[in-house]
Amino acid sequence: MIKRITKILLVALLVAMLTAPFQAQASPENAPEYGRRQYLRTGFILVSSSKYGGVAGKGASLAVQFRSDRHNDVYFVFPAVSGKLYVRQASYYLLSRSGAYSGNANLSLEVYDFNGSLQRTLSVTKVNLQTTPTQTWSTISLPESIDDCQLQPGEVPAFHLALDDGVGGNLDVRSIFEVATEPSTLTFLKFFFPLVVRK
Amino acid sequence: MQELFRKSNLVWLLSIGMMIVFFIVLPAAAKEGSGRSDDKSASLTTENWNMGITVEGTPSYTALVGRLVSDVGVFRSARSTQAATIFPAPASQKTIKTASVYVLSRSGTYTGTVTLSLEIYDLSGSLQHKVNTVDIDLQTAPTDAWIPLTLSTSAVNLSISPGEFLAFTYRLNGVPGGNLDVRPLFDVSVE
Repeated sequence: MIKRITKILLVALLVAMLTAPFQAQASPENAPEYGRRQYLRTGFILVSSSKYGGVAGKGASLAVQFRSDRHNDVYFVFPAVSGKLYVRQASYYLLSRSGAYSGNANLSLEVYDFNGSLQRTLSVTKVNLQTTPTQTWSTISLPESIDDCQLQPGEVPAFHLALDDGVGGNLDVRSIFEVATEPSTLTFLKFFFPLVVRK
Repeated sequence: MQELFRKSNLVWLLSIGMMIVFFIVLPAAAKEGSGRSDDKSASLTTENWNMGITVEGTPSYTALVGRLVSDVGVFRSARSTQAATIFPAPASQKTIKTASVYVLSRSGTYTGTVTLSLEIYDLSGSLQHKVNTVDIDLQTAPTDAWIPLTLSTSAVNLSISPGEFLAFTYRLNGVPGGNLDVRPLFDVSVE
């Protein structure tokens, strides 16, 4: 009897260990923590081009103003880092909104290289800046898989405020942002993490 | 019978060994490999805030648009009765653990009192909580040392909710005047 129970326990343990790596992909919000979480709230405002060299000589900001009569594209770019990171959460808060724009004015979270080339879009859906609630923190929908939320060295995350119908109207939006990131970890640890480390 | 006993022992030893590796060794290695060893004294969610934007008058967050971030605050008694150095607003609940001020430079004088306090506002600029219990006198505070603030013992006063922000507030007890010029640094630890 004891021998049978021992066998059952052993088999269960082996099954648990072997299936751990094949568990469902963890979403960004509930994936295991790999290191100290960093919050990006301070960024640089770039107009028309997301080329990172444009931040030279600019001061950092906490808030951005986007006016539809001024520019098609405005970027709130966060400081570049040297290590690989995962974006775990992203939020925005519209301080104020006034006026109107005849087309779509959207907000999205994107990743650019230093030359300003779009590498990937992190926000699953674009935020409509004319209808999204003001004066409350709202969360950006991130991809299902944490692997799709990577930031590689040489890349920077940026909130992109964009018009789809050219400059015009008098829409005026003022917004602040927050992006939570965590550093990467060794592959084999990530392989085993689903069972051994949870927040 | 003896052979069976040995096999049974072997199975138990293997099981226990695997459990030790899986539940103790791997998590410990994970902490080491993920850089947590650098953060032995800090939790994974600790942040240090020392960069902000200084505005004169009521500390409304909308006033930050177009202003630049700095690690040095500034207050001039000739300009306004109140000013504030505002830290970035968090999207999630934060708790203040420690707060310190370093008066980098001071010149001039003001005939009344000039105080510095740490406060929590909502994003429209309404005062929500006072974080410290004893204000700092900016005319007599030492200029060559970090000065820790005495924090409130009430958990509510140390909690920053989404939709709120933290600010160091400078106040005169009278009208603007004199030529006092104070430039402080800040270090606030939150979790």
